[in-house]
Amino acid sequence: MSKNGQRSFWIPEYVFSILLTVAMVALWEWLVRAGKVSALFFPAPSTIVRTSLRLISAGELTPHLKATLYRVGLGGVIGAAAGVALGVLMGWSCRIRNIVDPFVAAIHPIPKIAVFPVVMVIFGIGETSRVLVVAIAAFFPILINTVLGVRQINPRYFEVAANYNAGPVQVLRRVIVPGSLPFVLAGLRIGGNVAFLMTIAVEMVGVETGLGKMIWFSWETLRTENLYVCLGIIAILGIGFNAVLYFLSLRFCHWQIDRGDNETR
Amino acid sequence: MEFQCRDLCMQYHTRRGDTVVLRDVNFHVAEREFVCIVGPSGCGKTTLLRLVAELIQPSSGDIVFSNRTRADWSRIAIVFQDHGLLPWLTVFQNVAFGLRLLGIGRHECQSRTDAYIGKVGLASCADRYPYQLSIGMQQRVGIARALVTDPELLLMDEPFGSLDAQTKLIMQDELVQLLHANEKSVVFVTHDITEAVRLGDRVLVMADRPGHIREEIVVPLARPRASVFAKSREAEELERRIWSMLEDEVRKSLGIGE
Ligand SMILES: Nc1ncnc2c1ncn2[C@@H]1O[C@H](COP(=O)(O)OP(=O)(O)OP(=O)(O)O)[C@@H](O)[C@H]1O
Ligand SMILES: [Mg+2]
Repeated sequence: MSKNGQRSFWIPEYVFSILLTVAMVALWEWLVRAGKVSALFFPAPSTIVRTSLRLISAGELTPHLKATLYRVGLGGVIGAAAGVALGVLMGWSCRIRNIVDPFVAAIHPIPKIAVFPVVMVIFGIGETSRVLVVAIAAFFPILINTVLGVRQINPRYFEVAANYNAGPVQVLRRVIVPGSLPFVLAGLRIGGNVAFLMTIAVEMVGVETGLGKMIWFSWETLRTENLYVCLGIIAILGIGFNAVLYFLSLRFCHWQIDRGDNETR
Repeated sequence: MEFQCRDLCMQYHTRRGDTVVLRDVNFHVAEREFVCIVGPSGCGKTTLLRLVAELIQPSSGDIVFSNRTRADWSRIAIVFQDHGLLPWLTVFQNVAFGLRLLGIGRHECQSRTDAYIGKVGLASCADRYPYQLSIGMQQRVGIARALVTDPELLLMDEPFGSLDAQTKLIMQDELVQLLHANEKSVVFVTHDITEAVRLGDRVLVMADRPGHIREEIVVPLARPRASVFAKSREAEELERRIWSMLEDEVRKSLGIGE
């Protein structure tokens, strides 16, 4: 921000973002039209927009989008619920943390796409396995952030609650939830993006519908403009998801974000 | 609320081994008594208050509350040295925090909270968050939070420590008035000897390594007492006595000889 209003002329940051985007898209369009890059592999933005309008109006896109949203949504919610719940327990109780930590350390580094076959062996080659592997992928970053979020709460706040005879439910509601929320939201942001990634990945093998399937099919049939439509949609979904979390943190965690010099950051 | 500490010992367990912080602390606080504690930094004053509030358990010894079961211990309120305000709550919500936890109804909660926010002079800041307050204002919120539940035992850990000299005098007056109207037992940790003599019925002088009570000084002056500017000869004499003791202890504690 302008310092103490000394400068009266101020261009907000988003103007630069928009200008940069417009410039890049224009450059891309020009490169394709001028024949500098292959229109087969890098279709022009105008082509991509036209294709997406066609796909949407023909109803070709909707089933894929729905299938993907279902997997991301359900998997993400399950992973988040489990991650937050276990994370709170682990952050709260040193004993639970000591017991569970070795398992987290062992399982977390395994690429979750690599456990997909194992999950399918157990839960069959159906939707359950796909949702589950998405949930597992989202689970870990959310768990780890939640544990950290609970542990970084100033122990004094627990003493304040204890001074007024707070029971576990009240401590949870009045200290742990608000105190860990900034970290939990950061975890949800990472976990949500991981859930997207995992959904697209599992959809590339053995599904009939889904954006991942559409991407892979477009690539195999060299309909690259369809592929780019999918990438665009995923990007828009990502922007939407991150925006929701951003506003949640503005609404509930301003005490953490605003503190200090809120003018220059 | 009357209580007695008997042979209280406390050691903290750290990775480098155990350190004994308090050894054989014995003292008694009577109903409606105001006891001040002074002592060198790090001698265990905060630890002692946290023991009395049962936020930590003593290694040995015990604290006996007369004719009172522990179920009543929500009648104890502590003002933390570092304020301990919850950063996600407004001033109002922080002050109301204890009332809500004790199950006081919304209406009563509102009126009592407003009253105490007014008493500490923060009526215009009720909707601010702690990070928007100065340190002295934060400390006053902490004081209001403890007072609003009308505890029978008030444990105050350098409550006026971060206030400027003028506000401090006024807050002392307010506290004196409040206690006059509504007697409680108070344990009041301070580094200000004048304050200790002005407020206390007794002053406990603590010594370090490990923390213990070196001397117990009765302040035989009638309450409420005159302001600092009209100090009696006796008060000054007491202050001098406490300082000579404390100077000793502080020098020992800092390792700086005379
Ligand atoms: N959680 C802890 N773990 C280990 N040692 C501690 C802990 N809390 C306090 N101590 C030690 O106990 C001693 C007494 O600490 P305490 O906070 O009670 O001192 P104090 O008298 O309140 O000091 P001050 O006047 O500076 O506030 C100090 O030496 C400190 O290092
Ligand atoms: Mg202290």
